[in-house]
Amino acid sequence: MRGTVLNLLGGIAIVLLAVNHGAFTSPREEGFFYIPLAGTAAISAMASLAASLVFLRTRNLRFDAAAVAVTEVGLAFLAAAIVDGCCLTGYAGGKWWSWDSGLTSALVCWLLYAAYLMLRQSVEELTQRATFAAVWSIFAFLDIPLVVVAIAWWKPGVHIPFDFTVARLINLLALVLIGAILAVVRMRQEEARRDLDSLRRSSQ
Amino acid sequence: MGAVAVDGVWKFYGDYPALRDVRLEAAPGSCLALIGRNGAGKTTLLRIIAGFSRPGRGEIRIFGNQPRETETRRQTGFIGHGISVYDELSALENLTLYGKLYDLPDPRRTAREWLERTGLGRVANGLVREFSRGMRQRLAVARAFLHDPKVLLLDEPFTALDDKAIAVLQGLLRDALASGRTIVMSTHQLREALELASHVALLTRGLPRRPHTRNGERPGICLRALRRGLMDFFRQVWVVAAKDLRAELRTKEAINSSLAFALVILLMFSYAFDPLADTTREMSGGLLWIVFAFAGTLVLNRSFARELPNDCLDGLIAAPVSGAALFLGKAVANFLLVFAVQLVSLPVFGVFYNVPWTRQLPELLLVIVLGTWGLTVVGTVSSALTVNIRLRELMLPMLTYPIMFPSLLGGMQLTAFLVGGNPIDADHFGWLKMMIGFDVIYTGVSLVLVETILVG
Repeated sequence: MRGTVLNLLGGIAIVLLAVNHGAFTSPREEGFFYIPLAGTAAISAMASLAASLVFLRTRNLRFDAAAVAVTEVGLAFLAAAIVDGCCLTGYAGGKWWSWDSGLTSALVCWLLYAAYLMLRQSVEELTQRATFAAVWSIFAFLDIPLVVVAIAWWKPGVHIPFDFTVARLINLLALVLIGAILAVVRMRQEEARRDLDSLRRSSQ
Repeated sequence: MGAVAVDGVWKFYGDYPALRDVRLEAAPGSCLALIGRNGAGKTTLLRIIAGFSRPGRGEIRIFGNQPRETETRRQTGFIGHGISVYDELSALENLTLYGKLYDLPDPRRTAREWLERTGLGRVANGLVREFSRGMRQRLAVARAFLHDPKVLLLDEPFTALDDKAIAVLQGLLRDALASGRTIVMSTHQLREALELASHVALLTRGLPRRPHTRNGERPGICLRALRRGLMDFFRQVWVVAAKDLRAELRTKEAINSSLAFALVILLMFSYAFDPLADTTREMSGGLLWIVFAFAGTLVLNRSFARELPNDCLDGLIAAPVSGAALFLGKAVANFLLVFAVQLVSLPVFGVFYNVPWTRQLPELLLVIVLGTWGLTVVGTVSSALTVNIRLRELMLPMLTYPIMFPSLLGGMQLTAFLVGGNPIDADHFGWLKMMIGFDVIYTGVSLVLVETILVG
C-alpha cells in the first residue's frame, strides 16, 4: 500500500515537472530550478527541526529517523541548488562563483547541516546520537535567518532574484513531492539499520 | 517510603533494551547488592539511579524525589569506575571544590577532616597526579562521603582497591549503615558484598515488582527563594569556572599552545600579504578574527576534555549543580582564557602589520568581547557534544565555525571599520545588534539544552 502511494506521488511529481517545463518556460529561465530547489531545502530544514523537537519530547526514535532522512534529502537539494546557481552566474557573467548572497548563504547552511551529519557519524550509541543530533538541528535552524541576513548585509546587491512565479511554484510542489518520497525511503533504511543494531546487540 | 525506588525502568540503546522493566526498592538503612553477569545492566541501572542518564521508561525515586533534583543530589554519594578527582589539583583542593559544589558550610575544614579519616592528611597539599593508585582511590572514597550522603551508590566499589583502601571503605560503609544510611552497590566480589548486604538482587534485565511510594509535594516559589536560587546558581558558576581556570593555569596546556598558535598564524599571514601595505589594514578585521577563531578552538577543545581523565564529569554531574550552571561556568572560564590570548595577539598584530589598533579601543574591546562570548558559548556546547566521540578535535571546529558565521562576519566588519579610526555609525550599528542577538539566542538555547546533552 505504502509503495503504491509512493509510486503515485512520484508519478504526479514527474507529470508536474514535464507539464511545467513544456507549458511555461524554457529550463534556461533564471531560477527555474534554483529557487524551487532552495525552497525544498528550506522546507526540509523546517521538517528536520520539527522532527528533532518531537524526538526530544517523546524520545521515539522514529522521529530521529525522520529528522535524518529529511536532513539528508534537504542537503542533496541544497547541493543541487548551489550547483545550479553556479551555472546561472557562470553563464550570465562568466564567473562560476560570484559571492551571490543567496548562493553564499546556501553554502553556509549546507555546511551547518553537513556538520549535523558528521556529528551523527561520530556518535556510536544510537540514543545518544539521536539526542545530540536533535540538539544540533535546533542550533543549525536558529542560525539560518542570521546567516541569510548577515550575508545580505555583507554582499548587498549581489543576488539572483528570489521570487516565486507560477512556474517556480509548480516546480517547488514537484520537488517537495520527490523530496518526500526520498525521505520516506531513507527513513525506512534508517529504521532497518536500527533493527539490525538491536539484533546485533541481542546476539552478543 | 523507600530510600531508593526503581519502578518499571527500561533503558534502550537504540531499540535494544539494556534494562527491561526493572523494579526494586531499598528501604532506609538497608544495603542492596546488585549482582549479575557482565552486561546485565548493573552499571546502567546505577548510573540511572545516580541521575547520569535518563531511563527510556519508568521512574526512579530517591526519598520520593527524582534523581536530577538538586535536593536528591545533595543526599546522594556515588563511586563509579573513575575516581572523579582532578589530577592537576591537590587532594585538599579537590575535596574543597566538591565541598563548595555541595554547598557545605565550611568546605575546607570538612575536606581536611575527610583527608584525615582516609589516611591522606599528610599529603593534603600534594597534587593528585603524584599519588599512588591506592591513595587516589581513598581520595575518591573521601569525595563520595564528603557531604554526608543519605544514599550511597557504589559501582564495583572494591574492584582494583588495595587492602588499605578496602579496609577504609568497608569501615566507612559499616559506619554509614549503622547510622541509617542506605547503600546500593553493584559488585562481582560476592564475599565483600555479602559481608555488608542486607538484600541481594540478581539483575537479569527484570526483577520482581515492589511497591513504591512517591512524594507529591512541590516546593513553593517566593521572591526570597528565587533570589537565593540565583545567588546559588552564580556561586556554582564561579566555582566551576575557578576550578577550570586553576587547573589550566597550573598545567598551561591550552593557553600556551593557543598563544603559540596565534603567533604562528599572525606570522604566516605575512607570507600571503605585504605586511606594510595599506590594503592590509582593510583586511585587518578578517585576519584578526581568523586568528581569534583558530586559536580559540584550541582552548575550547580542552573544555570538556579536561573532565575525561578519572571520569571527573560524573563527579560534576552527580553534584547538586544544574547543567546550566556547569555549562555557564565552563563558558566563563573559556571566555577568560580566549580573551587573554586575544589581548596578547591584538598588539602583536598591530606591531606586525602596522595597524593603529588603539584609536577606537573601547569600542574594539566591546566587539571582541561580544564575538568572543559567542565563540565560547557555541564552542563550549560543541565541546560537550564531542567530548566522548571519535575525532573530537576535528569535529569541534566543524561544528563551531559554520554556526559562528554571522557573529564572525560582524566581528570582522566592525573590527576593520574601527581600526580604520572610525567610530561605530548607524550603518555599522546593525552588525553590533547582530552580534548581541547571536549571543543572546545561543546563550539562552544552550542553557536550556545543556542538561539534555549531559544526561540525555
